[in-house]
Amino acid sequence: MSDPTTRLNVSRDGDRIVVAGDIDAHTCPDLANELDPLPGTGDIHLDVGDVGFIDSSGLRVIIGAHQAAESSDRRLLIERPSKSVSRILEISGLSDHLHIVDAN
Amino acid sequence: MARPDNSPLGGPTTPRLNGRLTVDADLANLGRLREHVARTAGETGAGDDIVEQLQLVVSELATNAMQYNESDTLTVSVTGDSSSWTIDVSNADDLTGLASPALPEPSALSGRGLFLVDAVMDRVELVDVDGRLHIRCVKFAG
Repeated sequence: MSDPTTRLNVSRDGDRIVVAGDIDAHTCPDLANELDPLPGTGDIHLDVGDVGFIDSSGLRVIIGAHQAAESSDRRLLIERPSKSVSRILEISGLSDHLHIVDAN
Repeated sequence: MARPDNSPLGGPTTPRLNGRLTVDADLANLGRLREHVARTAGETGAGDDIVEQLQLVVSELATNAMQYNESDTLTVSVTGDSSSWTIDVSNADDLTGLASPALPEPSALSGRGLFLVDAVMDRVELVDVDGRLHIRCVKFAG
């Protein structure tokens, strides 16, 4: 799709979901569509290394997917969070609640 | 549709105006509002961290306004200099007060928006602008 206003790209390869762009109230449904139902059968890898912005709407989608994973003995692994994503997770008190995997 | 203008901001104190943007109250315009805030604040010396916080605030407040207010348009004003920045978001008439919101439980799916605004801004208040309520947030440098 060629859309100059596209602000979020979500691609899925098995149980790996790669997200790039801004996650807000307008774009979060695109992410939600890839996480409900949860893909695969094991841990879900959510690569947010190229997410430049996320607000509480995006957090809601992530928390919902986290809860769905936990309820089926799986984990939503939030991988490579950028500085801005990490900061929002920290401020929201979610850093110790979600499964966060840094790049290093 | 965006209609930038440089009309003076109302209220008992009038900070120096840097930029006002009016958009259709459509969530698809959230990105444009964040870009407006980033550009305007950046021009007045705001560093990356402050720009990021201002963008978060405008995204949260604009989302609330679009989802709970029936106005067809939304106006965001950004004013400031190198020592402080003020974000003013219209369409706050549905709010009856701004008590400091508590940190939601990690399992909570909602209720984080205003908490985040309060957490990153130094002052958050409701102001009357020409008979309509706006949310005005201030961030100080340093």
